[in-house]
Amino acid sequence: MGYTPDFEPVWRRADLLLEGLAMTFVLAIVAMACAIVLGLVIAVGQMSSVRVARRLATGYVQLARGTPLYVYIFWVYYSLGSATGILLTPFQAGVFCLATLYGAYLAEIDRGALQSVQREQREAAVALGLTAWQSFRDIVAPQAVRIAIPPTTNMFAMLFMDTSLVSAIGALELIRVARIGSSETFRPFEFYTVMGLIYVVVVLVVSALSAWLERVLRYEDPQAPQRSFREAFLKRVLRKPFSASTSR
Amino acid sequence: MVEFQLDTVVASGPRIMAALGLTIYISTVSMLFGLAVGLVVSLLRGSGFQPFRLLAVTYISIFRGLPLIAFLIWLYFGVTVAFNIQLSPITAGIVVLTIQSSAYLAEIYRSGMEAIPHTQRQAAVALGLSPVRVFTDVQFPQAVRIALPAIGNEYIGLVKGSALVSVLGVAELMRTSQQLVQFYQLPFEFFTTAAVLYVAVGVGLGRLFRIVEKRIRY
Repeated sequence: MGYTPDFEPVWRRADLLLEGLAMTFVLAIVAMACAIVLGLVIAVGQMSSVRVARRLATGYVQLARGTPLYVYIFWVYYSLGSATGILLTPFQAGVFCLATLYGAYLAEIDRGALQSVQREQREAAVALGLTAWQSFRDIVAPQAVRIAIPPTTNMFAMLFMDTSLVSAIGALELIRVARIGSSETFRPFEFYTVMGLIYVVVVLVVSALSAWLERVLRYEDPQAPQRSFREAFLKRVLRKPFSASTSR
Repeated sequence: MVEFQLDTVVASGPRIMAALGLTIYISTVSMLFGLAVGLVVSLLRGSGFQPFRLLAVTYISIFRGLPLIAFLIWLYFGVTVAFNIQLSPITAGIVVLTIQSSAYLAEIYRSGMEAIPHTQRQAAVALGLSPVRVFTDVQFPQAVRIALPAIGNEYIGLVKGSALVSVLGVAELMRTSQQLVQFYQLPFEFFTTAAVLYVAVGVGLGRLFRIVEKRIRY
């Protein structure tokens, strides 16, 4: 046998791959933006003093975490249309599914971050005469955001990978585009290899970014010796390029 | 709003159950292989020999950054053509799921190992245990206990991930549901059934693992 890979057709159709990559990014970013908003709403619901809201939010998170995304995408795209008459484009269905599932994952991160801001902080704010809203805006939120940003960035890497599932309903993202390219040129190995590499590179870069943010945003005791920006960057990104993630 | 055609779903029951069986078979076989390969990778990751460590880190980074569906398509439609390999869709699916879960499991093992106090190893060495027995009798049993919840999550993730093997044409739960949808033109009924079954298996496995966790706790 002896197969000689020829990547020339891939470079010739680079426009196609770039178009798919752009679509993947748009899909991921729009879905992530919606998921962040939804995640905040759910997190507030979970921590609310209203019992019904708490139950609803917790039930939603549990259900969403048990649902396989792939089945969910098919369910929304094919059956919701036939059952309710709402017809979504593959892009809309993809954003909807990714946003609703990732909203649940992000809610857990947001809740953890908000709860990890110590109670004394809030009590001190009240003692200083701040209103509830002021204490949330000026004391709790800034600290919670610092804690939530690195895992949220990691979630974006996961979401980016999961956009690949939207190819199944025909969105013209990276996978779909690679399939078109390979059937056009009869070079499946080359197209799929480049496609896989693009995913790996993007995910690694986003994960490294998450690890770097974790180091940079960590609250340091003002009395402790400050680590320089450069030192922190080198330590985190070069020595530990891939942080262990918790979600799957 | 049309009525839910439960009769048709029930009539296809045997076929759906057989497909669910295949889903569980694929994910269980991949999980068992993944546990073994993941252990090897995590041992390489923690070895004192730097090239091994580098190899393991590269392996973990690549296969955790590659979407499952991209990996499946690359192996089944790309690699087989280029290297003229004959691979059945089920085998390809199991290979891909094994490799990917091993990358995740290697990290799970590592965090389990790291959670054991250093003194355990020192005490075992002081008692005169050989390095192999320090690992098999002292470190590994404790690490597995710590890592069990994460291992359970990984197993549930594999059941969900096995739905993607349908892309290769394996008649597991997802593929069978798609075929039934096409045949009966009832997407809502059959996709809902599939989703409910996946969630049920996930919840069931979650319960099972919680029972096992309680049993083997100190």
